[in-house]
Amino acid sequence: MTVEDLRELAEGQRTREQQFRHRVFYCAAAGCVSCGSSGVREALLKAIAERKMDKEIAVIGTGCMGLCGEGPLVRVAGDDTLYQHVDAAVAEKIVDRHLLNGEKVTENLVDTSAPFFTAQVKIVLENCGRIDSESIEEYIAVGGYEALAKAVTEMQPNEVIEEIRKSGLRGRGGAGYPTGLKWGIVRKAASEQKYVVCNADEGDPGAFMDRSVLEGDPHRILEGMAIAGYAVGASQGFIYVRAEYPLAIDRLRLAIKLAERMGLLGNRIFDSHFSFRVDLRIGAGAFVCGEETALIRSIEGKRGRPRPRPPYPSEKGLWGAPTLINNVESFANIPPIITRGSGWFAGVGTPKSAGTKVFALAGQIRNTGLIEVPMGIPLRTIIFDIGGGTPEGTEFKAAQTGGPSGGCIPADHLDLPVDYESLATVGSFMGSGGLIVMDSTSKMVDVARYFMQFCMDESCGKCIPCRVGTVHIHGLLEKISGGKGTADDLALLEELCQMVKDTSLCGLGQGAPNPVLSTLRFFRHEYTDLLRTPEGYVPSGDGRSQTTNA
Amino acid sequence: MAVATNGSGHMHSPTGLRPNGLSLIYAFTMPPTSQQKPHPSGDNRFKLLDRAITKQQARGDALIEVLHAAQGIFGYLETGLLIYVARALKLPLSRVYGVVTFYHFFTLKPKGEHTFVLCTGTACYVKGAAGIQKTVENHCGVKFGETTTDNRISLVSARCVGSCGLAPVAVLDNAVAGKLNPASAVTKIEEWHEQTAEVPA
Repeated sequence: MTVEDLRELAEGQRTREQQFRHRVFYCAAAGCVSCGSSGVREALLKAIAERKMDKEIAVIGTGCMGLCGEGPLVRVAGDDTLYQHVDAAVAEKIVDRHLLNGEKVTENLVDTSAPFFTAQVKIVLENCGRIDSESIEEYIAVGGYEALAKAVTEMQPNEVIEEIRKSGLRGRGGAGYPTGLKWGIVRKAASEQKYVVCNADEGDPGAFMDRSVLEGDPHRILEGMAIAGYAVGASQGFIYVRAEYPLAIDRLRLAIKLAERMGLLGNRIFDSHFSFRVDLRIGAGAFVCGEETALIRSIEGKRGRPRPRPPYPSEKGLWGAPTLINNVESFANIPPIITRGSGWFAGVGTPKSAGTKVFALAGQIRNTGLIEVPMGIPLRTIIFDIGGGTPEGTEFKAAQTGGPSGGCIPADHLDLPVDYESLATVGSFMGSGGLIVMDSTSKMVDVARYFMQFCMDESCGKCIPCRVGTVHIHGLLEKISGGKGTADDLALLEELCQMVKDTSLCGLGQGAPNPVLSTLRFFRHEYTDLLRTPEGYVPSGDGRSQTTNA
Repeated sequence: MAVATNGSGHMHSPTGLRPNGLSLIYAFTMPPTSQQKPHPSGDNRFKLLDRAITKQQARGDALIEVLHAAQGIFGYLETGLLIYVARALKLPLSRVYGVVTFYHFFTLKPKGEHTFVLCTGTACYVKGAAGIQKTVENHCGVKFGETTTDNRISLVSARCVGSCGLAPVAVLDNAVAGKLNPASAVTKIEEWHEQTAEVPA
């Protein structure tokens, strides 16, 4: 395939798409599938066939449309109408009233002028819910693989890295390491063999951003990885996906096959000397494998246990070769940076945190779903404007970001801008993008215990602070939440947390005490209220009563 | 001290795997051979497994892929199967066993007829998954991570199935059920009982 072939293919596909009077998209992402979107597809097809319109109306399954709590969702292209809670009856109404007569089905209409839609800026998710994720032609028609073509045929590898560096893109896996810098290190490493790895082991409970991108726009990840491969000098890529995402695995498999068939992956891409292949590696349910050195072990077919760094994987990674590891969302940002330029990307978000961030909104919030916002947006806008606030009759208490390594952000800090540095100032962490809202019914000691149990179960057991420390912290939290803890236990808890944080080997252990420390910082009274003094004193309940053994 | 740093099994109970008698099992679990004839073990499911191993060129670093295939074909990983895989990939059995017990996804015991996977992710937790867990455990009489004595239902808890918009969520035999409460979860389990009751009648 040459660049001309690619453009011709895109043109051809666009013409084909225009031949349809209407194109109807139904959401085929995991959230909507689980509330019956495949039935919606059948109902749409049946209604269209009965009215003999199948030549004029196309029915297309897409990736996540965002508003997961209100599924199944259906979008009619052209006038960009979005319908919620679609079942077979509603599907028939859409065909009869909207597609045939041009009047919208008002009962199920989603108000797309609501802040949920208008406050978002879509870069990573721009194709999610708008193209058929199982068709490579549709991806090409919206400009897919143009960035790869540009990189391979018009740019030197160094120029690609320079462009990424100037864009200010930082790793979206959570830690926020500058992507361009990482690429530069792998490029400079002297080795015949290098690898590019996409970390799609999205293990944080409450996070489904990467899954939605993989399911909705798999080719974009492949394109981003291929550009990375060209830039750093690697010819082999691996995508490490967790086994819990069967749909994402299927779509990726298909995407790799289609891209290979078209010559967009494989030997001599765009008639250049650049060759790149991508293989899938399926995880087997170990949270620690999201840590990069553990992930490498797992790809090598071993127990996924981290090792000390340095050497970093960019110097010594898979089978000892320099390895570039980026998260799904980081790779998804690459193609638009190459096509639209680093200046455009750097203009989105804040000077230190450029671009956007995808969040999975869940918990006690009205609009659950997938959102993408510019960096630096206040947390309040995300929760109250986009998310619509907590359900009626409940009051916002805290937002949890960063999963089991993150922290809880209380109501007083809602005006905090969401970027890497600001979240760190309140003891939380950007993480991969799970954002869980808790209301007054959530007890913070129980929340901390919940996360600690998670880390305790997931600890790989290699280093003692994490293996033993998490068990003891969990025990202390059980004791305190059961009303049997004393002030001494609380002091010990804090000491242990600090120790585990400072001395653990990898991010899992170092981050494990964060939920405890952050709830202690902002909701300390919830702990002290549960304490008893050695004499069997029961606190009076005014919140901060006598709690120390002074 | 030696016990504390024992690399492979500190989190899991050993199953009494001993090298004694292995040679006997080896005799029945020969490495991959021709695709045409019935498999020497007499169990043609091994032919499927052989194909999966050949696809990976019998490389040791494809161990996890091969184990996925094996569990997909046989349902669970019994000891003989682990030995077979170890031989085919030319890996020590300890390595295979170590990997199997490290990852939650692999199971050494057969699963029940039906599986009820309750998501215990944060979103589901905030929305009351703990209540569902208690009610379902009481209803089935076993804890999560166990199978009922009649081998009918396995209760499994998952970290996060990624359908947080529908929390609390459970996966019943691969179908996701969202926005559950304790009563509706039990109703779903009851439906299994009714289905199986209808079949013999």
